[in-house]
Amino acid sequence: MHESISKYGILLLCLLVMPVAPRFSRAAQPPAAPSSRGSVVKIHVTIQRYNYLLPWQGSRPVSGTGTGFIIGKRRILTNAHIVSDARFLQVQKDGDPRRYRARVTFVADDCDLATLTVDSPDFFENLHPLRFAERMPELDDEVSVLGYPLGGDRLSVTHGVVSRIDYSTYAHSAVDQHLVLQVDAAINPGNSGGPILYKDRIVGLAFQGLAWAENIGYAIPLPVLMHFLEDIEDGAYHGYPELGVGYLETRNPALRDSLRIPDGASGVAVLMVDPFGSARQILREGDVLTDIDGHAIAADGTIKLDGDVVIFPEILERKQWGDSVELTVWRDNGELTLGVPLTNPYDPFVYRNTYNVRPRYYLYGGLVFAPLSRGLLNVAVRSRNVINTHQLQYYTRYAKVDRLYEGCDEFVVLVNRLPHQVNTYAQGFRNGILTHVNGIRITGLNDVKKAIRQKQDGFHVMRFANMDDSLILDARAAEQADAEIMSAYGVSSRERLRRLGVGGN
Amino acid sequence: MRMRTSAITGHRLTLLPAFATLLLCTGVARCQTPTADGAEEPGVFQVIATYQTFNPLIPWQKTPPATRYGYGIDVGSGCVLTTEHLVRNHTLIELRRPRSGEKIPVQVEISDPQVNLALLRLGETRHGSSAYHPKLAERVSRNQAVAILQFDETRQIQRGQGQVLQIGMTKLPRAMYASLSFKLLTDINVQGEGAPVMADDRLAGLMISHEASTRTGHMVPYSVIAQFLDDARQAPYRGFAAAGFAWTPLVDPGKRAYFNVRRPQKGVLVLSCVPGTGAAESLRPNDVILEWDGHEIGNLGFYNDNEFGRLTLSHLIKGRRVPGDIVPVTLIREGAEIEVEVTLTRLQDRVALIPENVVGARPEYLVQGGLVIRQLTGLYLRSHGPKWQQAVDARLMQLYNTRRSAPSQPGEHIVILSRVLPHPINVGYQRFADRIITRVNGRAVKNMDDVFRIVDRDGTLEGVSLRSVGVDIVLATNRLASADAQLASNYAVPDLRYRRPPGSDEADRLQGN
Repeated sequence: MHESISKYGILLLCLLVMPVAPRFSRAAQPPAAPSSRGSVVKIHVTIQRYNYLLPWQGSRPVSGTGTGFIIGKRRILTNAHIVSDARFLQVQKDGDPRRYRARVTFVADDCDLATLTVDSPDFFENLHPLRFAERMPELDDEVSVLGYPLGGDRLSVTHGVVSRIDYSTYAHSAVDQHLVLQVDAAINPGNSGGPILYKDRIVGLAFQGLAWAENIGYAIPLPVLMHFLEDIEDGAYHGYPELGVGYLETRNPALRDSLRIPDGASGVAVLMVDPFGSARQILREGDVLTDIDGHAIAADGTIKLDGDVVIFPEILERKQWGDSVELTVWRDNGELTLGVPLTNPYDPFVYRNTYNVRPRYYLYGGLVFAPLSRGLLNVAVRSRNVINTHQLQYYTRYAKVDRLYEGCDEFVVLVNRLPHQVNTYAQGFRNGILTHVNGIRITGLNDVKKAIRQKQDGFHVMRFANMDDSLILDARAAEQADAEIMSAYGVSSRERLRRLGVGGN
Repeated sequence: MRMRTSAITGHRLTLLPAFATLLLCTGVARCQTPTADGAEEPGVFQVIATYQTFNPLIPWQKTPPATRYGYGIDVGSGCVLTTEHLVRNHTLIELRRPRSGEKIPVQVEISDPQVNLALLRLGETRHGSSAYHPKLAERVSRNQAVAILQFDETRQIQRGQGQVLQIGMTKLPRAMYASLSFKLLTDINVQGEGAPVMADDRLAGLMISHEASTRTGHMVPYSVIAQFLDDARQAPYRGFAAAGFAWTPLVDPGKRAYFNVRRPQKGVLVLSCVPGTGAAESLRPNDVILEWDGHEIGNLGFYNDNEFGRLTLSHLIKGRRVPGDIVPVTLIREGAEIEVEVTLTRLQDRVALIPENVVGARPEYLVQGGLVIRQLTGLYLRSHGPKWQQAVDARLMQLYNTRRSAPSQPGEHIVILSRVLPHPINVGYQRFADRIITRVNGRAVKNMDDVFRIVDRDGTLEGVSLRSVGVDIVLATNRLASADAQLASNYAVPDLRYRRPPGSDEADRLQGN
């Protein structure tokens, strides 16, 4: 699930960047048997992120390591954040000097999981896949964490207990929330992708830490791992289906009265329906959701599930793309039962972190236009002197809530200016959201090219959202300047308009 | 010496009974007594201002009182001139003469944050002054030597030397207004704002800021002081003029050609006009202003002022005109040169969509059922810590950054649900904070006036609608009175509402707000 009504407050850093001092593991302990240790492999990866300001080139390649483990069928399970944007990938068994070339078979950015395989026939020989537990451990159950954290080259084992099972944001995508398993065992950079074992069975996969806390490490718990593996069984990853509603609890009696919720019934009120969620055109604002798949929803949004009290979107966590969910809804003083097919359309306004997708752009007159994305926002927020970042933040957070998306396929941003005489006076428009070119409404990146190409003489007039000033370019001068700009700044191509993925390896 | 008095107060004395009375009592005796060592000195006072502000985030609470020290100067008629910032939110103002420990309580007659000047009125204890009040300087130029007066540690007047480095329209410190100011290089550290600056024994200005590391500071110059005093002595106070438009330089040759600007190096581009002002009636976005009030405007917005040299055109409005004046403007509209007339107004902070409230005026608010309803101001946003721009909700930041001075209709403000004070009556709503309120009791609101009017007419707050929230926040009206009583007591809220009294123009006049 991802939150339609967004939430603040939890800042999580991926383990790769978590600034925690290294800790050495205790000496070998009995719970993790030798067979399980042999299945935990070290992943050597070289990644190259995309450059959102100079989108025709990549950024500096960096190398790092992570952990993965063999789960059978020539598969290695690890984190998506280890292998995202990977250009070169190798795996290594503990105590074996050989590194094997690996490739990504499936990647799930919304739950930070990926599977790898090794084509070399001898790699999986004599390896015993780790087995999944039947059920989740309880609080205070002792678990061990295996992996290759910083502080040494060999396999490390640490121990701790299950401290908490809760929902949290997955830092890798920055918007998705799923169940997490919190443990107090040492989890350090490099542990990412390693197994959390309870009685020698997999109950989780270490993936992130909390920046300023001690003894808090997070793992992706068993249900999320199983959801992913089930999803890819048909040969493709579809992702978690979203119901796409923001809701308000109805504990307030005055609110219950105004919504005319009958005595004895309870539920949550729909505040907002995500225009790209499964419930679009099915649910309405003001609907009261009283039941989900036969589970009564309490006034605070919880349901009873397998003897546990959980928030009702947990039902969605157990669904696969293509399933459906049955909702009982109190609407207009009557009860309705609605089936909601769970198939999310492509959503350009969710602003997840994206990986392995080259940024699209269009260059004209030294002005670089690109669609708004989380990658772009992150760059803008990090660089202090760049103007108009507040606007990008507003558009990413409120695109759907304040219906800014209407009439748009994506937001086009002036991300950069390659200084040249033709654009000397355009600096104030950086990070502006382009709305019109020569009077033509811009609904996506392709429109920019079309609108510019339609006019050969005179002036191009560009208007930006919430800006009174217009950017005006002399059409002929800009056209003539392009070759010079591209050569001076080493631009290999003036555009990448189509969505192109690039294989992880 | 009598002449000095009339030089500033002039012929208006007879128009002002209050001042005239004071003069009768004090006018003759006060100016002439020489100082202890026989030399005459201008009437410099130390100003001791105790102030207290409302907590910008919790508008019923006050911050701990504190004291600022600065200076003021006798400008005649029983009045002392100092800076507005010094006396801002004062609870007590006292003056101290040189070499004296006695503190004389005074009242603020008028203060105007747009020029950072305030006029204090001395009471009956005015007798016994040994100093004269200086004439205003008539002309101070760049590079001219000036003297800065302040108290030394023995409470005698200390004279520092200074030099005028630069003259320009600059944004005042601790304010959001641009005003004419002189930048000075000094040989002493100026210890408090309001320190008088003298040029040949005439008052050249008041220091409003000083930077010890560079020994530079800014002063409000004599021309602004003269305008302020003239205005202050004739009720009602009219304030400084504004036109009500935003402009940008027009340097880009491509853009100049696009707007058909032929005059080389001239013209600035109008971006937007504030609704309800003279500019909104006469100017349009994308007009190019070539001449303003008889002066050619350069493409960076400068004109050549006879007195001060190169200044931005805002001085032609604020420094050379008064509200109500009508000025001729030559501009290019849709490629053709035309003449229009613009009526100047006094543009006040509170007409902005999101007023800055730099002076920290008490915000209007309503607390009912724990819902804290108030108007969004720049001060409120900036009070969210040093990283307020990141800390504040992105939607409010967006409004502040793009539309703060531009209501879509006169009187429009942003009404927010600032927070919810938890109480059983508002369970389920307690996570709402900094949300824009669109409706109260089902009716659209565009400012706090609307909120108060609706709540007073209906007798109570029944509920609010929030922007982009599809369910209204409703309260149990039958339990509201008792809940409010409990809330007021639990959270120590002395007043569950504050509404500026209707017709509080007098208060506005005094605050210049």
